[in-house]
Amino acid sequence: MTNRKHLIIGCSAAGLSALKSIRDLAPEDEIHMVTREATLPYSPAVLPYLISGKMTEGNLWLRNNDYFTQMKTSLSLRKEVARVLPEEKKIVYQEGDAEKFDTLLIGVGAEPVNLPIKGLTDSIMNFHTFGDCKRLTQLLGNSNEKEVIIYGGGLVAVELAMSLLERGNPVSIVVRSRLLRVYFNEYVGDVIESILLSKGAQVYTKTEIKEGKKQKDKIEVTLTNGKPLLCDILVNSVGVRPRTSLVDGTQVKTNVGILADRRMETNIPEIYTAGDVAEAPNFFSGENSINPILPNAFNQGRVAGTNMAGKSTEYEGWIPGNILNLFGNVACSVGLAMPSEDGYEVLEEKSDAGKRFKRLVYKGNILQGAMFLNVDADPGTLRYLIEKRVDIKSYKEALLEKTGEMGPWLVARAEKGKSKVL
Amino acid sequence: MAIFYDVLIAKHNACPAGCTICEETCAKARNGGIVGMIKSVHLPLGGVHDVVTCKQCGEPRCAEICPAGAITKSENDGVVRIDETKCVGCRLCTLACPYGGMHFNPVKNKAAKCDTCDGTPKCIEACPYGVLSFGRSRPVVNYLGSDPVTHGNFLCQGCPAELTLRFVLRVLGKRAIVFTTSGCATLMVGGMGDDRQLTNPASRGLMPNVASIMTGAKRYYDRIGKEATLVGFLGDGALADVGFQALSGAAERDEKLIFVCYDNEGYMNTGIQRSGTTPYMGWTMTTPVGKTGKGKVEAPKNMPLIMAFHGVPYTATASISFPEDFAQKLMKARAVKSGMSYIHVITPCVTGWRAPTDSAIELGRLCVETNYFPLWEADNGKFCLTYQPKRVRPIRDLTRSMGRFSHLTEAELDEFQEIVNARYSTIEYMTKSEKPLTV
Repeated sequence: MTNRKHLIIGCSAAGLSALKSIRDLAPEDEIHMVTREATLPYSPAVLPYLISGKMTEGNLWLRNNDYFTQMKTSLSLRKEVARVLPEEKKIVYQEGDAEKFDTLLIGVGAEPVNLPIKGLTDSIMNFHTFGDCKRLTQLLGNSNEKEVIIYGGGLVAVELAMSLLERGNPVSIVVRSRLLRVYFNEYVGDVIESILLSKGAQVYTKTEIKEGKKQKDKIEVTLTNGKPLLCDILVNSVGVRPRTSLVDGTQVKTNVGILADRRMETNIPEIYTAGDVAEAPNFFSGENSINPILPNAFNQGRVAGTNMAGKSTEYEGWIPGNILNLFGNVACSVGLAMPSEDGYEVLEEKSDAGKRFKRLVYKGNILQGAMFLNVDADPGTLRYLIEKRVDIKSYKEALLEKTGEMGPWLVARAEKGKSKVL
Repeated sequence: MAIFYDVLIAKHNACPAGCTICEETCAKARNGGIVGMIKSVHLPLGGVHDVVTCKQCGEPRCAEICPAGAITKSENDGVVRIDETKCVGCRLCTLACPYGGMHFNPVKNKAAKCDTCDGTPKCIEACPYGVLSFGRSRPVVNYLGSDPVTHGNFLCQGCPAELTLRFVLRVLGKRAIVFTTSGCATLMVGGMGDDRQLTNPASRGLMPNVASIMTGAKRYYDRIGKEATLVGFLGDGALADVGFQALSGAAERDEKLIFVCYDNEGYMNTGIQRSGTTPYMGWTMTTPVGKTGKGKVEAPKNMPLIMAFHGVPYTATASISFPEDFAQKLMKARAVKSGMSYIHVITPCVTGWRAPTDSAIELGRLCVETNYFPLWEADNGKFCLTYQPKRVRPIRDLTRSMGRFSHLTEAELDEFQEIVNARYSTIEYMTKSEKPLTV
């Protein structure tokens, strides 16, 4: 069997996961990993913690050069791919040079969405990459005096706000709808907002930034409701979209992201995709959609890598899952926590005083989603019950009542017979 | 990386109702009373009283997902640990663990999980009901990789030679290149013709020239700077007899090769003919028993001792009935870089030795425990017995377990016992030397 050459574009969760799968299954194949980043791999998820100081730069790198040597993989940094040429099985770099491949994984991730603000073109910064984070650190300087406006209300926006508040900086959040609309319901969202307010943040919901201008060192923005705000730094965090530019206009089919089948293969044979750039099948409906979270990137990378190495496997589909630790308050949502259609049974429990909330969403006897705030629950166990479609039958109420105990027990029960070990 | 490690074991659903001693002990001993890393689960309505904790997964999802790289699985003890200096408290690990094994210390604002207290779990000490215990894995399983032999090959029912090859390759790894020749092993590698039965790369030569082929191959890999483990897996017929010349030459030239001889004490594949290692008085088709014939007339050659006396860096005897010992010897053989390693494996052929098809492993044990086939090694001239039976069994225990010695009279059995004793003394004598022997 001849050795194949695998080219992986992107050195984050999806790419690294695929790399491991390919190496495990094809010890002799050639692997070349390229990234536009200038550093060793890191996870964007911890960048907010660099700002607060909980994470240091030295600890940021998830792999070192030894790892790539061990994996017999050549890693090329600062190498951005401009174009994929599917018919020729070639990619072309920004510098103009080209490279051939036998299999290709496109794991380039997402890019920030920029909402244009009249009057401000270059004064808005993003918070997506390590480079962005360094720039923000520089602008913040050594003191905590700089006032920051965060435009957007997603998880990154909230975590960044939290880090800035921990640092002592004045923070305002401007969000078009409400905080964490995609992940949590209004009840939980409101609690989260109140927590941020109690820590000194300003939160402006149901509004956008209409226009802005630079006022010497400061930035002045005007919200759609007319309210003016002043800040030193304006961070755009309205959202991300798949970075599909390298395949736009080629035969590789895209929608919002690069479309992937159950093998994480695109419409072009031997070209795969995974992670934030991929539009992969959803676990519940099987329809393709975007769900850019860390666990999905890993799983998709693993599936893609396995297929690239020649061993066939399928992706079960992505399941949403997000968790937030906000000043000791824990909010988590897994699966279909806010179903829009009928046919779901929703069990809830809440305590206003204790800022506690619990929700389980069932279809028949099978758990479809869960959401909770400040309760004893192991989110991973619930994800397992969703993923394995465990029949919960007579324990549906009990799971709501005593989630922390029922969760692991139901998992152990489902696994019974496989292992007697803890 | 090893496969099985020591592990915390809990009896299923065996806790007394409402007991939380393990959880409290853990919390107090490790986290200032704040959170235990073992959880008691009490669900009276369901009659459930159990414990839950980290399973120290082989491929831990928590380690995979941690964006701070704070969670790692140790190669030494298999324990999955959190580096608190790196943990940022994002709690993604609690989303990843399907078993409820990940906990959180709200005071430190960091994740917390069971680390078996580095081998002496406090919860086990504290549990008065014997629910918890610490299981120690047999080290041998740590050597085992994946099974290299595909299903459906053509060996006799109960064949230990196949088990030996499987074991050898599971320890040496899927990258080891196997060389063999006609004999039982040819079926393991290529079926009845040219099927592929092994997932390792393999090559078959003729009986007289395998050692020469291996010499050429190894020298080529060395020349191009590619690391390769070459293992010759041949029978006593091919190594002690037909291919001895090439093997001896390769040994003398210090070729960096591993040889594993499956000694079934005969040319078994071709229908049970006598070989140079067939024992004195042993029946084979060409040393028949009848009116005049009394089995083999000549004494066998001591092949492993002959190889040791070539002065090769490592020689050993082994048996799959003693897998721990065998695995360690294979690891030693693989580590040799200065010349040849040779392992001679007693391989009780149930077909040729006329024994029940399910008795091969037991026969291997008997061979060793009767001192008929002592387990020893010569490591750069230092001889030692690697296993000594607590109680040496009489040779009759071995001879009565098979048919090829059934013709022996009482007097002949006594003679056999003396031969076994004498040969064993020779080996024992070699081990008595303080310094390594130079041959």
